[in-house]
Amino acid sequence: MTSAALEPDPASIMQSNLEARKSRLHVILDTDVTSSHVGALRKGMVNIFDEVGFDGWKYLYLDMRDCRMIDSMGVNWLFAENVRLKENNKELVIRISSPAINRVIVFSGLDKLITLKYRRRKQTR
Amino acid sequence: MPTDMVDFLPQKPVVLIVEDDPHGKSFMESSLLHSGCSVHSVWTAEEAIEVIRDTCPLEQLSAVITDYRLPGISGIELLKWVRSRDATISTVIITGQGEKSIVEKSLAVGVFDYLEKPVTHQVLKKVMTGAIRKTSEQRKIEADKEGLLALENLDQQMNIAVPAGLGQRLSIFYKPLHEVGGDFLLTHDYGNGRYVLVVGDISGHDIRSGFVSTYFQGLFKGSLESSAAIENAFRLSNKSLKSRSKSGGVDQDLISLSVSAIDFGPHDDYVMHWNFGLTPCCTIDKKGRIHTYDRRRWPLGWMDELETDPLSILISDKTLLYIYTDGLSELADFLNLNYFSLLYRFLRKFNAFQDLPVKAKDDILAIRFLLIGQMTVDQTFEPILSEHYAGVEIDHIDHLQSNWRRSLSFVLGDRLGDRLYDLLICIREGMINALTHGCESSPDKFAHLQISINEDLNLLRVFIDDPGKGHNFKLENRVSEIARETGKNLGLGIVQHLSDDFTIDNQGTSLVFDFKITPEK
Repeated sequence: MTSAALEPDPASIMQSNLEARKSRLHVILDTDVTSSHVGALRKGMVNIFDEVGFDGWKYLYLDMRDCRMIDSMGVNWLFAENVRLKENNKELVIRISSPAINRVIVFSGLDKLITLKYRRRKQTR
Repeated sequence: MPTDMVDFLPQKPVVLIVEDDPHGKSFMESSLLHSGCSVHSVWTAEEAIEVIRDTCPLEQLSAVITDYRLPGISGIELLKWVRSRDATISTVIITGQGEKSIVEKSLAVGVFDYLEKPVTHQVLKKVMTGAIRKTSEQRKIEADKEGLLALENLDQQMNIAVPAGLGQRLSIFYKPLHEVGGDFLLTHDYGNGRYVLVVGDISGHDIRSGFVSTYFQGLFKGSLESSAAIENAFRLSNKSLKSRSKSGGVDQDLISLSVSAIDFGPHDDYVMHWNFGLTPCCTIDKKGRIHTYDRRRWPLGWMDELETDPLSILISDKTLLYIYTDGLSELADFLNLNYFSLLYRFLRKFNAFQDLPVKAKDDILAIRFLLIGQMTVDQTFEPILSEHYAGVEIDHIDHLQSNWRRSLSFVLGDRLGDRLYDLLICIREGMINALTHGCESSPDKFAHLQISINEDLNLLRVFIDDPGKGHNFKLENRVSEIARETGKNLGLGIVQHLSDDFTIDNQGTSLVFDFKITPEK
């Protein structure tokens, strides 16, 4: 795809905060995890790691409860992020509420490599 | 006799005067008679009601003038009674000087004007002229409204009337922009089960098109009923349109006629089809694939010579045939919906039109014809979306996805529940595959997305076709490989996993997948 010009600002689609007491880095996504946003998500995650560093937390809680959709490029991005976290001795925990996203993640086998927390919620967006 | 008060009326206006004061009553009688009116005059409101009931009904009166203060029923109550029976008649009330509250009350109940005592001849003449003129105008507006309503009913009846033999097979949606539409449907029964259907669209969007349309309906009808072939009606219409434009009349830029017609018999393998300028007709087959017949010629009235040889549409496994005028696609564009989704709703539920957030800007006429008489529409697939996308549209995949979602939601409401997202993910994956690989993201190569619905099977079927060369792999092996979650072809694997059925045809250039219409898989 050649959609770089249309890519959103990473800061507009993801926020982070460190919960040192529980050794958790929370990253909250405000966008669907699809081909159109993967570039921005990748950059955004790099920015967060640059800012927060890899000390003071063990678990990355990726909050995708406001996401409705994921596609194959989105799944590939999650796989890649998981590899990077493993290399740094971190664990990925993904929170989702969309049954469609749950089905895709389970199909891809990603749920066997990470912790998937799925609580169904009716999609309203 | 001065006639300036009534010279705008074809006959003498009749005024009813209600006044209990003998001097006032006599003055008004002579003043209005002198001004050219006929008068009925009475002393009380009760008498006035009696006159209206027995002698001079309201439609014969041009105005009623009454004193406010009357014995028994008051003047204002009388005027309320009058207006409740005929809202077109003007009424005038006479009050004492400075009775502002009575004036306000009178105007609030629809009294046309008021006069303060003492009343002079000039003032009375001026006010009553205005009242009579107003009544005349209101009655003309009312008559026009009634006439247009009658015309609208007639137009609807003409366009929805279908021979008994076609009743079960033909569905019609007709919504003219005005009371009379420039679009028309004409059916002709040749006997022995052979019929002709003609859908026409006169150029122009105003009510004149409606009247011109009636002329050409008559021409077609007359031609067909005199046992002439449909081709003769085309030639005759073309000739008529050409001669009008050559005459240089004021309407020369108004008239051309787009027309699409089919001719079919009970045992025919083919439907004969002609199209002069209308949107292409299309069919859908038993599997749910949409076929479009884009063999259009110029609209009638544009060219001197007319080729009238028909296109033969092989019925074979085709189940439904659609013809519609361009008002449908214009409205769909305006709503950011695919026109098939509008068509589906309009042909199933007329109220869908009233529920729309915007108004149409042209007449809309659409027909759906069941090609196989033994089936019902619910047993067949119906199209709900068909779009061609150039390879470069991959850059706007989110925008395309919003349009798919809008059209699907318009057709299905909440019937898919959360599975709507499963479906959108599958279409997205399929289209990314088609636009990037099949079309190589090129502006000159096009992928085709079609979605059909089968109500009896409670099923959606999606077709994604691309112009790629395909692959030399064995399709069965590839599908089973995808199913084994090898990580390769994750996109297509997702489609297979989320859909209820998935096949790859034409060496990988056609994806076909089904979705049961249910919130749960």
